[in-house]
Amino acid sequence: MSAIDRISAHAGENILVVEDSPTQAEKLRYILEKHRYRVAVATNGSAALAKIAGEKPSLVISDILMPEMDGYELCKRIKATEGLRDIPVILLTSLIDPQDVIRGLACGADNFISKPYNEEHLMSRVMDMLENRLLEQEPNEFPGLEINFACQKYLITSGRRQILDLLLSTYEAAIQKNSELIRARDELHGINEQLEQRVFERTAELAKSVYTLKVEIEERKTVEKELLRLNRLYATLSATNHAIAHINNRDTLFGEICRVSVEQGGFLLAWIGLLDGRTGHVNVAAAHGVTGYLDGLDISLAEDPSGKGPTASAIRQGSIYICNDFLNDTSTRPWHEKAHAYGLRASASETLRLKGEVIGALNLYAGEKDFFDPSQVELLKQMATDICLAIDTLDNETRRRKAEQLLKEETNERLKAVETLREKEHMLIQQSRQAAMGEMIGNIAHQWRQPLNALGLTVQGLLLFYDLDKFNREFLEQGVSTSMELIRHMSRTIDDFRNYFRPDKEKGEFKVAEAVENTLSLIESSFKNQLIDIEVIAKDDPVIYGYRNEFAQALLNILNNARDALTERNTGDPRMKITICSENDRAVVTVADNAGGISEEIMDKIFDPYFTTKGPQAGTGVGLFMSKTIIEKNMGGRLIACNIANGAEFRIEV
Amino acid sequence: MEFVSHPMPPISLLLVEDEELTLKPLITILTKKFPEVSLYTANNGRTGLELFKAHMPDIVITDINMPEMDGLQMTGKIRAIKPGTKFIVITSGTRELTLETSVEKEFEIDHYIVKPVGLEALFAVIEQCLDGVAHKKLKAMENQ
Repeated sequence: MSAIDRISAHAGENILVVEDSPTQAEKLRYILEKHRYRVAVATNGSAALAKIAGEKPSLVISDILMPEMDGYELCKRIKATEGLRDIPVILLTSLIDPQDVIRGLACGADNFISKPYNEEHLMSRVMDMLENRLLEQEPNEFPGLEINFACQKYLITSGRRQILDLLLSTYEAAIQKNSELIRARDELHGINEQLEQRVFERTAELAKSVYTLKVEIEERKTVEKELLRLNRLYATLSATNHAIAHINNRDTLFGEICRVSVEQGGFLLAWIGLLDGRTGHVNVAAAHGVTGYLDGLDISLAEDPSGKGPTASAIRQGSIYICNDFLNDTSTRPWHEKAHAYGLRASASETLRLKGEVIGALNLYAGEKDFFDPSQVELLKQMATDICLAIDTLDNETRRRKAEQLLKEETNERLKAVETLREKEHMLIQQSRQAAMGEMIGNIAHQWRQPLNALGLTVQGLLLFYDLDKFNREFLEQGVSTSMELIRHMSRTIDDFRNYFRPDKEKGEFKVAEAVENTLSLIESSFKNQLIDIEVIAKDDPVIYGYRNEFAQALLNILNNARDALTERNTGDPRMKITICSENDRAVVTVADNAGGISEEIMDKIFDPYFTTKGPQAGTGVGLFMSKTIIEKNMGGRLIACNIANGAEFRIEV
Repeated sequence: MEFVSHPMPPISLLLVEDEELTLKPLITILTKKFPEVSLYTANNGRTGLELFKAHMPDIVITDINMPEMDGLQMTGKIRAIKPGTKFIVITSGTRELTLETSVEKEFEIDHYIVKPVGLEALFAVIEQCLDGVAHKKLKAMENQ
C-alpha cells in the first residue's frame, strides 16, 4: 500500500509543523497539504505548545534545533502534559549521532524523520503515525530505563513500540543511507570504470599516434638523409656549373670538378680518368679526396680483371655504372682490400664524351653502401652531361683559339708584308723623288748648257778681241748685252723650276694652256736635245680650278713617260702632239706620241703602282700611278690611256 | 826650198751647230781669229753635208746632237766623200758616252771639245788641223 493510496483515510486531519526556518516550514506545509492534511505552523516551541493546547492536532512534526525551546524539550513537555501526551510527535533529526537517538527516546518522541527526507518517506511515516495512534495504547508499565552514554545519563521512558518505531526508523535511515552509499559507491565505481576505459582508450590512441609518429620520424629521417644527399649533389652540380662557366682550361676544370665533388658533394674520392685510345689504359687526369686509393691503380679496357671494374665498364658501355656494394661486388674484386682500407663502399662511374665519343669517366666514391639511388643517378647523369658540354665547348674554344692564333700569325705576317711593302713604297717614293730631282737637274743642265756655253764664248771673245786689237766700246757693249741676256735667261729658268717645285698651298683657277706651256718650258731643252718634236694645239682655252703644280706634275709624268718610250724604242722622227680643248664643260688635254703604243698585255697595269717596263735604273713605277692619283683622286677628273695609229695617247679630263 | 816665200794655200772650214746661241759668237770669234780661213756655217747635219759637197772644206767643226741629221751621221757621210777631212767635234758633256762609242766605231774623229767651249783649247786644235792641212797642201804643190 503506497502512501498516496492511503490519503483518503486521514484526509482533513490537523498536523502542526514546528519549524523556525520559514522555507522548511513551507516545504512541509506544501507536501502535507498536497496530501489533503490541514497544516498549522509554529515557529518555536512555546508557540507550538500554545497551538497544541488549543487545537489539539492529530500529529506534531517538529524540528530539533530551534531557539528558546528545541524539539526535544517540546516533545518532552507534550509527553509530560496530561491530555496531550497521546498526540504523536515526529522529530526531524539527522539521526547520525547515537546521542540524537538516545535524546529522542529520552524525550519520548514517537518517531523520527531524518533530514534530508524525501516526500514518499515522509508521508509513509506520517500515515504510519496516524494509523498507530488508533492502536490500543499499551500500558506504560515500563518504569523507565537509565542509560549512560557519552558520560551522560539519559532516562528512557518510551514504550517498546516507541523504541521499536525509533529503531525501525533508525534502521530505515541507516538502510536508506546505506543504499544511498551503495548507490553512490556504484556510481563512483561506474564513473571510475568509465574513467579507466577512457584512460585506456586514450592511452591506446596515444600509443598508436606515438607509433605513427615514430614511423613518421623514421621516414622523415630517411627522407632527410636522402634530401641531404640530393642537396649535396645539387650543390656539387651547381658548383660544377659554376666551374664550367668560369674555367676555360680543361685540366683546371677537371681538377675543380673533383674538388667540389669531394668538398660539396661529400664524396670520399672523386677522380676523372681519360682513356688512352692507343694503349687502352685509363689514366688519372684529376683526383680529389682519398687519392691514395688511386696510387698504383691499374685500370684498362683489357680483357683481364683490371678491365672489368666500374670505370672500365662505364667507358666500354658508354653509360653510367653504379656499384652500390663495392666491397662485395665481383666486378670490384681486385680492389676490395684497398677500397676497404680507404672506406669506399659504393661507387658511380659516369662516362665523359667529346663530340659524342667516350673519352673517359668521372668516378665518385661514397662511404656508405647503397648510396646511389635513382635520384642521385639522375643528378650524376645531369652533371656528366654538363661536363661533356663544357668539354665540347672547351675543345671548340681551343680550336677557335688555335685558329685565332694562326690567323693572328698570318695577320702579323701580312702586316709585316704590308710594312715591308710600305717601306719599299717609301723607298720607291724617295727614289722617285730623287729621280724626279735628278731629272729636273738634268733639265736644268740642258736648259743652262747652251747659254753657259754662249756666255763663256762671249766672255772669252772680249779678251780675244782685245788681244787682236779689235776691242772697242761697241764690241764691249754688244758682249755685255749678250751676256746679260744669257744671264737673265738662266735666272728665269731657275725661277721656273723653283715655281714648279713649290707645293700648291691652295686651290686656284688656272689656264690649262699656260700650265702646259710652263711644263714644256721645263723640259723643252731636254726634249730638244733628244730631237723630240713637240706640237701643241690649243683648240680652246679651258680653265681648271685646282692645284696647278699638281696638274703640271701629272702632265710632266705623262710627257716623261712618252719621251722615255720614244728614246727606248729609238723611234725615228720622234713626235709628240699635245691638244688642249673643252668637252662638255670639262678641260681635256691629250698627249699623243708615235712610239708604237702600249702592248695589250700591260695596258691594264700601266697605272698600277710600281709597274714599270724601264728597268730599275730608269723607272720607279710610280710616275703614271701618281698622275692618275693626282687627276682622279685629288682633282676629281679622269686619266685614261689608249693606243692610236702609231703610238699611245693619254687623255686627261678635269 | 823656199817654204816661207810660198803663199799660204787657201784653207776652208765648215762649222755645223744647231744652237744659235753658240753659233753666233763662234762665227764672230773664228772670223776674227782666223781671217785667212774661209768659213761656212750650217745649223744642222743635212745643210752641213750639202755645204761640204759644195765647197769641200778641209776642216769640219760640228755639234753632235742636232735635228735632221746629227753630227756623227754627217761625219760618216763626209768621210766617205773626202777621207782626209779633219773633224773637231764639240759636244755636251752628257753625250760623252755617245762620243766614245763613235770613236770605238772608228769614225776617226780627230779632236773633240766639251762644252762650255774654252777658246784656247779650240784654237789649239784648229791650229793643229790648219798646220796639218797646210803641210799637206804644200807637199802637194811641191809635188806638182
